[in-house]
Amino acid sequence: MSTLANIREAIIDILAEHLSLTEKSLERLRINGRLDEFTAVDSLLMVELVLLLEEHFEIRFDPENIDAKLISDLDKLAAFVADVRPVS
Amino acid sequence: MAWIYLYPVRGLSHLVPVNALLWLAKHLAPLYARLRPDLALPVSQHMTKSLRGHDLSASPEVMALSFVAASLRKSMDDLVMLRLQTKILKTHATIRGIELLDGALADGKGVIVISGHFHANRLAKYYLRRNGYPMMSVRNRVPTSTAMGQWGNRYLAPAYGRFLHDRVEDEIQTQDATLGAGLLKRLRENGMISINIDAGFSREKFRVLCLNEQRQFAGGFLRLAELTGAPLVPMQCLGNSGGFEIVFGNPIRYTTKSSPEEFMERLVIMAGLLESWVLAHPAEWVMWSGDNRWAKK
Repeated sequence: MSTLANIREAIIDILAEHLSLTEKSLERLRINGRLDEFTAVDSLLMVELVLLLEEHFEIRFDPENIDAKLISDLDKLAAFVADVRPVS
Repeated sequence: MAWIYLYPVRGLSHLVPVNALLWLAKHLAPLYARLRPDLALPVSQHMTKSLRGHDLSASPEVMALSFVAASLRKSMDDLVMLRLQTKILKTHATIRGIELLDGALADGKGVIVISGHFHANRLAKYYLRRNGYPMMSVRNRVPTSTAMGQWGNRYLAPAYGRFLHDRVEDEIQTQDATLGAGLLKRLRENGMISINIDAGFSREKFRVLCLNEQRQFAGGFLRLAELTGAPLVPMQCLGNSGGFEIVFGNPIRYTTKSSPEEFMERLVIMAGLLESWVLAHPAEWVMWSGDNRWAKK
């Protein structure tokens, strides 16, 4: 599995663990990658997701990176995390 | 009071000198209140029920008249707001506790300014924005009102929403898909967000005793504070363009996510804050209006 795919799966795991999403919702997210289906229902979910990703990947979303289009798209989000996270 | 925002009045307000309009509003508002008992009566009834058992400076009937007069003056301020000169407003403004706001901003986490729906809010934020304290208001896109009826809500309310948008200037709407990102971005920039405690929009709603009734409170602002660590700074705005006061309170810091019980305790504190504001200045609270959704819950 590529790094990007690993990050994508890790983001889904974070959502599953912290944000009480159903198995059905997670499966749909795996397929379509659309986080906006959840963040549109609860705007604070977007805030919570950013903070969880920052903690898990030890990254920081600067104000210019806090963009609804980025945070609503699983693939773009995974690419952003891969780009900014510290190299281990 | 929706008639004042209709285009004939709005058009006229551009032609008449600002000072003349404000002078008219000041002198005609008490008369208008006496001529419109249909507006004052439901307010007085609601006040009687909600303020029972509390020490009041005047009877609900007298306060209801003051409320209607204050509503008219607020509407006039809205109409001429964009023509008000900051240097003139400065002579009419009193700000207390600005150092408390500055102290909260020094945390570097942004600030969530909490208020209730008071007549002077828009004017106060207009003034603060021009004096180095811009706040992004969180607002419902189209304010609904049972008094407007079906036709009014369909045609007038959206127009009123656009009218308010021009006055509020810096806002994010609850219907925006970008709401969460917008709020977090502003806080990350160490900016300010303005939220009314007595606003109804939030996925999570809770019933809390306030002003003798179980009322519905939205929990979103509190969750946002807990998640981001941004201090909550109370702000009360009183008066009108003829003389207004902005009072900031001590910052409230909630840096950990609360249990459901703790969350309710915190919300009760917020409801108590709102209640203390309303009891101190009943006629200044917008939500008495009989057409208001919150007043009916």
